[in-house]
Amino acid sequence: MDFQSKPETSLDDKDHRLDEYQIMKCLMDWRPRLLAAAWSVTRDGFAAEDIFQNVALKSITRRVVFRAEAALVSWAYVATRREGIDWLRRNRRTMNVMEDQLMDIMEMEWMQTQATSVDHRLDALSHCLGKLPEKSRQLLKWRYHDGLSCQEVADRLKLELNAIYKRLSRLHHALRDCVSRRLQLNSAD
Amino acid sequence: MNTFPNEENLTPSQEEMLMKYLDGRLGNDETASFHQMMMDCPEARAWLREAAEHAVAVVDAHRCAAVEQVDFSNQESTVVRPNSRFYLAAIASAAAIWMATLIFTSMGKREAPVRLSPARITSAEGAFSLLGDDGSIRLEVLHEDAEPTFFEVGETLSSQGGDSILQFELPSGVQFTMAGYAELRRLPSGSANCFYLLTGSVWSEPADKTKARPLIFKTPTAHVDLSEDCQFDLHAKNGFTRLRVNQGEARVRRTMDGMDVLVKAGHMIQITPELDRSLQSQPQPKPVHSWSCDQLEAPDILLGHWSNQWPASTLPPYSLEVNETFMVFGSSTPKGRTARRKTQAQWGTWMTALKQVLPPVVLGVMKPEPSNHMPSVRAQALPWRISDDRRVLLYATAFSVSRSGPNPVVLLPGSRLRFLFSFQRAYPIRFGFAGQQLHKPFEGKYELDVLEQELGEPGRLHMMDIPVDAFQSKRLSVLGDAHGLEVDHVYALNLFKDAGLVLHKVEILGPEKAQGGLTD
Repeated sequence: MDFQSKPETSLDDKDHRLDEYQIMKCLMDWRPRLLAAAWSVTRDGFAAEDIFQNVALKSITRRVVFRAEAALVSWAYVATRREGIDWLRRNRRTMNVMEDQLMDIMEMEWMQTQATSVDHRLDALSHCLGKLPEKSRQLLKWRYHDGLSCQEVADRLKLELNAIYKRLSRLHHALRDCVSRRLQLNSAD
Repeated sequence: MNTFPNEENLTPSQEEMLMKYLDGRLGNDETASFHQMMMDCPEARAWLREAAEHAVAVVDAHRCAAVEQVDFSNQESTVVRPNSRFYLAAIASAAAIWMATLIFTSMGKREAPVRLSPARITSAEGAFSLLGDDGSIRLEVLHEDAEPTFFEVGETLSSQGGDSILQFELPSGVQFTMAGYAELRRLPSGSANCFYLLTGSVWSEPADKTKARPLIFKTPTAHVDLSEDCQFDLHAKNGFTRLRVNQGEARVRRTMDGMDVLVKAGHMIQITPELDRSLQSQPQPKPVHSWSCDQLEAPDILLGHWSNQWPASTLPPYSLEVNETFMVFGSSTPKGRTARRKTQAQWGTWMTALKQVLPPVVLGVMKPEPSNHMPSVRAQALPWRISDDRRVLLYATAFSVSRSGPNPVVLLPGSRLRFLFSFQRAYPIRFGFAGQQLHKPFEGKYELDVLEQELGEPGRLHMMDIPVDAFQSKRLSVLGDAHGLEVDHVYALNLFKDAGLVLHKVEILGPEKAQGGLTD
């Protein structure tokens, strides 16, 4: 293999300028992952959506052209992270933020999955969320939709903080297993 | 398809740390270990990515449900899938904001910032960001911008690539070179030019008729007062500061205790986080031409992780059993540079013709085979920006030569670099080093790619002797060889894929030792 060849990515690498429609379509395909990247910085679902929209806006008003989807997605990850850090600063949130290098690695690993499989994963995830017991869904809603801290959730449920950590951790495992099973089933079909 | 590593490998304490991170409750003492765990453990990164996806999916699901409830109350016959409804809403809102922004931006241009004694960026190779005084990105990837760029007071220059080189110039004509991963901020400080070097290296080059105007450089552990006619290089990393003065003089104050000392031309000073060392300037030591790093004594592993943390002893005496000898040919441009081996039939002819021009690279197996407890450093994942919107992952190990001893290690004609390494999967390896001309600014990096066919059997310990002439400069502007260069650091890496590269030892052999045979 030639060292100078382009990175092995599943994205199209067409040598032409992406138009606004193609940019928006690509970003919408990648929306779940970009949202997740924004959330991993802000840990606020609504801020993540705002950030995604800002990034989408920037991508079509930016003067530099994107010649390939891979370039657009890579740029979008970096822009998402920076918007996220700006958001933390504007909102005076004092959170642990991952170092740049670590975020770079996370993003690169995120990008190694095809956009089409992102769609399938999202469908599977929606399905698995629906299958969770009501109490679990409530716990996830408080934590991620309502933005309660784990301590606040623990206070509501009159539990120890560690117990909430364990429950959430188990829920993430269950969701992961469910998504994995569902994707396998789909691929078998 | 689930492409994530197996997260079952995470321990309960690792999971708890991840939960704490998401909850924003990591203590200061835990932050470093969290970062280390994330860098070392792909399973932890996969866990965090999945948790983030779950979180946004929960938010989306509830938000869409709320939208649908409103819609159903108004228009019962409308049935839209939650995702597509949300997509439409997102596109519509993005389009609306876009239109508003276009109108807003067309109303008037932003006024140019006030420039106080601006520094002009004269050249940039690689990836850089220029951050405004409020932390916003003012400019990215300077080498794509044809317009002159100024480095203002309050702004920060940040390079994101090990191969990045940037030069800027003060109005007086003094030039500064910043290379590799570095972060430099211009501070307001009355009439003097003042900079804060958080990490990285800076080299100065005074103009021919530079006046002796005051200049200040700060690092996390030192305050340096000098003048613009001073020629120096300054290095800061992880609490370590090193200043070498080649022309003029500098006064250095250790920030921890306020001790200060004068550093004259030809002298240097090193400041470490430990306070037990007295602060004193010393003459710059004479250059040497050989160097060895057996990992047990390396003071600064720049990149890589210990893969054996229980080294029982240093390497036993060993020799190199040669099993391959091949020529390395490089094209004149970095893009086409690859290593190619001639066949045995071609070998003799080429050997005769080119022996004097290009010494052969020698690949062998170490004898005797070392124990499994041999100290070693495994390549770590490292994002590498190759343009503003293109990044790749590389897996790299790097060792600082300049910090491992007081003497500068200088390459001569006939010098060789010897790498003792192993790998799990056959995949091309890039070997390289970075250096500067002695008492002069940074020169750049020199590299050689060796293809998988050349590397021998995976899983075994290999040794490669590479003549310094076989390396080529990464900078198009540098056409010369690396003779006379002081080596800053040495590295080996895989691009794109983790081939399990492990470095066990790196040596620089001077001409006399290199000619003396391949045994140690």
